[in-house]
Amino acid sequence: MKIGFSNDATLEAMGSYMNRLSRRQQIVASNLANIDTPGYRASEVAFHATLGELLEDRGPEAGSTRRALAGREVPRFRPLEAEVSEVTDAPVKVDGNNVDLDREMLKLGETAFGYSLMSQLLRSKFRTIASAINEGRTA
Amino acid sequence: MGLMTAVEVSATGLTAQRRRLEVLVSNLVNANTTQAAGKEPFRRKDVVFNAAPPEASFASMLEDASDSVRGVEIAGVVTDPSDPVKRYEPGHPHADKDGYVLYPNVNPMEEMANLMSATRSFEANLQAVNAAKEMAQKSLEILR
Repeated sequence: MKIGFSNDATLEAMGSYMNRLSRRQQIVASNLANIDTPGYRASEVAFHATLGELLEDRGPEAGSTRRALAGREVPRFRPLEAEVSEVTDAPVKVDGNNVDLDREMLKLGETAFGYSLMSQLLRSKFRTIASAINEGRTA
Repeated sequence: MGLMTAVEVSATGLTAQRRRLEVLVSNLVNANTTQAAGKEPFRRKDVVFNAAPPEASFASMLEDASDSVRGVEIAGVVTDPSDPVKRYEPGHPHADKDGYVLYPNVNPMEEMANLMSATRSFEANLQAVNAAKEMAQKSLEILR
């Protein structure tokens, strides 16, 4: 039987989120590197779509998120793939390039912030476990 | 594949922008270079960028999701074919028999604008490297 630590949905969720953030960082770096490349179309990792999917009760775990939010069930986490799509709503420059510097810099900041947040949360999570191991005494 | 891929991709951007800077500077320094009559004067050059997959590492060979991550490479350095500027300077040693000297088709203002664009793009890539570095640092702090 798996208990607690090794079967922790939160750890899994946070790890998966960090993976997606690092994927997003790669895409932003790729867009920035090609900011002067003629004909290059920017890509982005859609986050909100995946969250919406999670809340919309689709897939094999249908309804679990809603039940978890109502406090009736331990949340089940479904690892979601980071979906990369092409940016279509940004203005295209004369050379066919549609990389928007401000937009990319904003995403860069958001990604770094999200990653920092996740690592802080993971850290406190592990501290809690360490605290339990040490019988509540500070390590 | 992870944050190091992001750094590699940004590095290609840094290299490309630095190369572009070199070419722009060479245009600027030769803005007034003339040649003896009958010879081709200096013509301004520019780099053409092309999106390319980043350097394939062993780790990236194992992953196949890296297709949308692309670095940049220099497709080539092209010469601007526009006409040189003709100026009437009969006393110039490079003047032709009618007293005209051919000056390069370099417009210093245009070069300066391109120079600024290259600098900004370089900075943006640098920012991306720093962000990736910070993220990696945060990961290391998790178990500290």
